Amino acid sequence: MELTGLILGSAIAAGTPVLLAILGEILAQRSGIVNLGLEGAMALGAMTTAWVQLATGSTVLALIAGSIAGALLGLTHATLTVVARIQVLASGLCLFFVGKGLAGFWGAPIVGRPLPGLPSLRLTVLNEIPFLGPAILSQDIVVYLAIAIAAVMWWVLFRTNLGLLIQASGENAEVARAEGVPVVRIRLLCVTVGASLAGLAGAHIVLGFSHTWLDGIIAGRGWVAIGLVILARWNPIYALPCAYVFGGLIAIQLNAQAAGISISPYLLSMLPYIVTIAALTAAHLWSKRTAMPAEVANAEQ
Amino acid sequence: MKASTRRLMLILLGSLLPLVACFGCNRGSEGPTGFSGFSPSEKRTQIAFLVNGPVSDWGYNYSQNEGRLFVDQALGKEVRTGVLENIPETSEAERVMERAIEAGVKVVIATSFGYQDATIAVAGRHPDVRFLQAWGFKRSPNVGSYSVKMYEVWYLMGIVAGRMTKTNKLGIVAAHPIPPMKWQLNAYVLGARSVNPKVTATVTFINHWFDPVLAGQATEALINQGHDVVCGVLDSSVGVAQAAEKRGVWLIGHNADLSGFAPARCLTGTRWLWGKLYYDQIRLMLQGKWKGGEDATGGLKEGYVGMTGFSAAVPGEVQREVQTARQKIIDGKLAAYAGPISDNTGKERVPAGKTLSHEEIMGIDWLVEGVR
Repeated sequence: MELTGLILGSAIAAGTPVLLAILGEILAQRSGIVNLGLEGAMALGAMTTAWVQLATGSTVLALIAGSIAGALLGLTHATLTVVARIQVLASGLCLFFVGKGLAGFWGAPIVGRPLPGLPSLRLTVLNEIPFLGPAILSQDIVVYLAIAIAAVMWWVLFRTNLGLLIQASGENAEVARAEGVPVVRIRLLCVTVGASLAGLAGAHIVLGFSHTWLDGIIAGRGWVAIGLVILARWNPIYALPCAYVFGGLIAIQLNAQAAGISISPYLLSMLPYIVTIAALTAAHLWSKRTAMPAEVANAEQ
Repeated sequence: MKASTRRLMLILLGSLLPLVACFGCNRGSEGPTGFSGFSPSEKRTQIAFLVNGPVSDWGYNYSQNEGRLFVDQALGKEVRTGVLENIPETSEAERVMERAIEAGVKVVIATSFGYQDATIAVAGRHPDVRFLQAWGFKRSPNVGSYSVKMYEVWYLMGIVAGRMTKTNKLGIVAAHPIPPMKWQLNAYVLGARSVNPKVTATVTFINHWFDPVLAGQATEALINQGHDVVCGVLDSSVGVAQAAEKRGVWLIGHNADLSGFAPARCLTGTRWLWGKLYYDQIRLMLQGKWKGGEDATGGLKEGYVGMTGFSAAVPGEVQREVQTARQKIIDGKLAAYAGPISDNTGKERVPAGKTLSHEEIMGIDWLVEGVR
């Protein structure tokens, strides 16, 4: 029972950077722009966070700086694609390399410098739940922040006027423009804010897990997030279970190995990806109607 | 958006990119790294080190660069060194070696096993250039291989772990289930069981050389199962160190000094001392005594491997026990792979009275008794 709690806690913690990245990509794609530079924005955010944490000692400033660094890369992507009309997949891919390269280069002087962790938050009431409570509910602040961001994003997208404008931009930019929707500004906003969430995801990786900046530390989580956007059906609320289940499957396979269950580690580490493909197939059979924003579908053809 | 605003944004963006690039240039000239460090007109012997990742990984490549800097310091009047980072273990490595040789490089040091075929191919075309190939088994008149006996240090680490564990369960996070991982972690477990036969070990393979976040998760999973001394046999053990510190279990470091990441929990750790090996090899080359076609190897005795200092948490008697064993290994009276040794299926792998040779150890593809 206690182990279940520990695995769940580990799943939620490990799922959070992926969750933030999925949310960022959902926002960008809902406005009609795919951002393949997500992993680069995460790396840049992680490196910047480490620098600011070391320079100022302030965790809050460090988290903000990491988000801004991600946002700047996102703004570049948005400017190139929305204003200069550069092919969206090419621009994103280039900015992935730019972000990763700059992070590695500027981060070189601080590689391996230890950083303090994030303060964790104990929710006193929920903490009283036996077994599960303490393990799940003593997470760091970014974990709760990510859940709040998912809820706010859902509300903005589906319950506000701005959300309608974003969806209109993502479904049919021509029609939206004819109706007076400021498509360019909406897209600049969504891609930039989305990439700032990727920056925050990177910040969480350095402050919440590794406690140091190392080149290559994002290790493909940005790419996983882009895949999981499809599974989350471009819905911020569905992003929660997607990210946590993904984190959970990794936690389960690691705990299985730690408990001495002798299945080939190669097969075990495939588990999260097999489940993702199975879920995608099931989702496709369940509903023929795809949730993909039409403008995104156009860009990919 | 108006056309004028659009133009303005493009101009702004256009001016931003060169600015970023220039900022980059100014910061780049930290040392003789990359091709710019080499020149055909250089009088000193130029030496290129190829590494497969960034030297800032706080792991294997970091230790390689430490070795290069050691050579630079000791032989700077006669040699000029440079490191070529992030070189893929593909035919790309051949191209990089050719370019380095064009720039006047006379000694190529390939620090990763994956360069072996590229090394042999390029060496065939350049008989005047000498090559050192890490962990290699293919050699030629101008290619020598080298490897170090890290298992000697792991055996000592095992003694520390065997004495410090309360639960008698050691947790190991390793990269891939391949011989270079297995001969290291086997020696660790053999060392632990030599002082505490009740010890068992669990190894988790994460199938990544470098993913500190995943390594941290794997470590926590091992801690959940009651393993109270953990270590990483990975490129970078930083994630393992963080998890050990957070959850309050003992850590054995690897590759580099990890006490900064787990100040309260790092007992001691292994260290590669490539500098000494490279110094010895390059000295032979400068004196004209170097011969290709051989494997250069050494361990504690030669100073090619070592350990980081003990933390205060390791009792004095354990420290003395380790020092005694270290001396015995140096004197040739103790070996990690001395029989009888069985594997974890019960099959005898080394009969009593026999000790595995260095070459046999490099090929170990089984896990020792007590590991699961």
